[in-house]
Amino acid sequence: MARRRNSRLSIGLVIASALFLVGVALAPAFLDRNHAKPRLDTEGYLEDSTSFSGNRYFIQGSIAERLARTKAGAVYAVTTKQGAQLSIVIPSGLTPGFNIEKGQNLAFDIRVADDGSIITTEIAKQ
Amino acid sequence: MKTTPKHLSIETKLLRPSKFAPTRIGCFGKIAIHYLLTAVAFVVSHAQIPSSALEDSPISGNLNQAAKIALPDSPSIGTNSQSVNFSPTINPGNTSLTPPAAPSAGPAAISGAAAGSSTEQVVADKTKDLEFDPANETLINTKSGAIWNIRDNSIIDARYDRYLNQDAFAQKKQEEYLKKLNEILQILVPKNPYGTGTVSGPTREDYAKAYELLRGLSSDYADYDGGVAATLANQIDALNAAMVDRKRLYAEVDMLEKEIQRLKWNMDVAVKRRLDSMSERRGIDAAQENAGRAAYAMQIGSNYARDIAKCQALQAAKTAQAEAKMLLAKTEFQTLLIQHFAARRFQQVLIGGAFYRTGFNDGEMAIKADSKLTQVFSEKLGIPLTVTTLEAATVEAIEEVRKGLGAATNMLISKRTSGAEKRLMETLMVGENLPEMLSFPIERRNEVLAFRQLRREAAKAVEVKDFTRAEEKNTELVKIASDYDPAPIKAAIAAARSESNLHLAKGRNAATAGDKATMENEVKLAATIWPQNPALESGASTMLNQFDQQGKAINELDALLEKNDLRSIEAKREVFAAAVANDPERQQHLRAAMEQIVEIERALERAHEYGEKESPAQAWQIVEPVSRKYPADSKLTRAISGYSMRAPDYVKKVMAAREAEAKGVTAQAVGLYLAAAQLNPASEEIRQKIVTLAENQLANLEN
Repeated sequence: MARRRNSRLSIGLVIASALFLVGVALAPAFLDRNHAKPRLDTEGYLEDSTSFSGNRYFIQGSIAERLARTKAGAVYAVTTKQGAQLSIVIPSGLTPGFNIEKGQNLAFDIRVADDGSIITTEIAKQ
Repeated sequence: MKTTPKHLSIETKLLRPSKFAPTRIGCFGKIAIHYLLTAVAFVVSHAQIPSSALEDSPISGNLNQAAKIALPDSPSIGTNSQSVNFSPTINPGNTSLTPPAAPSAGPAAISGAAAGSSTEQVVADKTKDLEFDPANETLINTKSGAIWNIRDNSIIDARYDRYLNQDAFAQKKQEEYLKKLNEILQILVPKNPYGTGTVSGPTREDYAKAYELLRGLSSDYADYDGGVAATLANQIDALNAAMVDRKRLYAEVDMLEKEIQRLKWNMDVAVKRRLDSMSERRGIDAAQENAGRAAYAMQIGSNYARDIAKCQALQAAKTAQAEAKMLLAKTEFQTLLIQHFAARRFQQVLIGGAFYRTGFNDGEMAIKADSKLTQVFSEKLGIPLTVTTLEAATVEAIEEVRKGLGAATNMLISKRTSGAEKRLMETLMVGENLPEMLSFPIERRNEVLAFRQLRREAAKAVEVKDFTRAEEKNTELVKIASDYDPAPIKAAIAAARSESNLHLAKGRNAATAGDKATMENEVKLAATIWPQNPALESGASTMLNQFDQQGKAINELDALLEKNDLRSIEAKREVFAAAVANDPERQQHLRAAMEQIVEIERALERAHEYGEKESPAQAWQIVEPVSRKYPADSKLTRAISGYSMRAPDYVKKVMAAREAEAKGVTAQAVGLYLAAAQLNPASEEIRQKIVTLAENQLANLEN
């Protein structure tokens, strides 16, 4: 008898725990303000970048290296979480208040220019 | 070995010290005689050539005639040139002859004297300026400075050849002839040269017998004697005729003397009687009668005196005529002796000398013939020329010939044929007409002739540059003549062969370098120096083939360059390098092709290293640009294909990046390059490309 009562409790506990865990797990997504922003299909981008012209995306990734830098800005190689590398242009007007360094995880709001270039519109640390 | 027949030693007996015999001359004189006769023989030989090199001054006279007189042809040829030339002057019947200088000489005398004079003049003119250099065996013309090698002379050679090729005398006939000559000389030998009291000279009968034998020689041995003995006999006849004439004239002179004495006596008697018988009258009548008688006596005396003067004048004329005839006979005789000496008919000189004394036994031996030849002989011999010295020189010359023949024989026995050839030629120059010379055995002559012909063939082969034949002949010469020196011909052959081969080698080098003009020139030079060079035929054809191949190689190179088939060029690079050695433009193309091959090979090598290290992407990256540069290179194509299969993703990304870049889609290209770089981080080229494109992105941004 007692064994049967314990089974009921435990099922409920399990469900509750599961729900809790799901909640915990989903909480950041619901709490992240960027979660709703569209992500760039890197594979698709590398196949035909201009087809993404005019679109805005959100990219997260770490700085692999700085490829170039002029008064107009800098171009960084950013390794996305998918492992792909993209060249992201950070115009000089958008230079953040922090140092951008290799290995740094950053979040980029970008737009795809007409020539397919990924131009950063906002940048933030993660 | 002494070859002189015993019976020929008689000449020396003639020269024993006696009142008849001449004295011997010294050692220096012997040498002088030898070389003088050599020079005379040389000059006489050349006198037959009007345009001879010896003609440094105009020579008057008929040279051919002079040569015939001075050096008669061989008896076997049978010319009687001497008798033809001299008989007019010594014909006993021609007693009206006067000395050559006399204006009254007849035409025959003039022609004969002129012939003799021209002979002497020719020989004398040519001999006087000649000096013999025994060290070099050359004659030097001190006037013109010309030099002739007496051995290397075509005319002397011709005479020597003629001598060597003559048939030897029939031994019996020759023995008889020599015996006769010797008999004459024996008869003329003083019977008791050292004796006292008794007769020591040849008697009148001896001379008569000797003359008879001499006269018979020309008819009995015409083939050998050639009329020489008859010429001498004619001269003796002329001498005898002159002596008879002189005797007759002097007899007439004696008769005239008697007539003069008679006239003188008669004159004395007649005049005295007229003068002694004075008038017996008185007064004027007596004076008149005496005057008339004196006048008559004077007239008779005058008549006698005229007759005496006439006889005396006739006497003087006959005396002069007698002496003139003797002088003419003496001059002609001396001239004949000198000419026999110049012609090297020495036995005739000795016989003639003995007869000369019969006519001129007054001790007058000096040669009065004041000819140029006499002057030259006197000058060369260094002593005044007399019949005695002429005889002495003759005996020495005969001795020289005998010694020379003895030396030649000994040399031939010991197989020293080269030396024998020289000695025999020297001997021939001196004693060409001596019986000893002519009786030299035919077998010995043939040995010399064989050597001489072989030596000539060797020399001719060298001259015509047939060195193989020259070498063969040279070897044969060494076999037949132990004293023959083969070194000069060997050296000439070796030098020519080396030179020819050297030119061939130069030609080959030129052919290799593609220098056809030089090659042809060198081959021509090689052929000129040694026309039968065995290497010439094969070498020349090889060189020509080389040029053919060279032309083909150039054409092939041009085609390969056009196709940019570097591998084929590389496979034949040595051939092409040789072919374009003289073509700077093609050389440049070939060099560029080789540099390209090196570039490809280096890339392949580097790629291979990366391939080995499991970096096919980097290997592809190294090879691919080179492959694009040289798309025709099969090796590169194979390599690039292999590496592509081993690194397909990388290749795909790079190719896509290039495509994007080409389209101006810079960001996409950068992204693709970055993706490729992830697969091949070692690629500097990709890295550089990324940076460049990134900068372009920024530039675009500024715009």
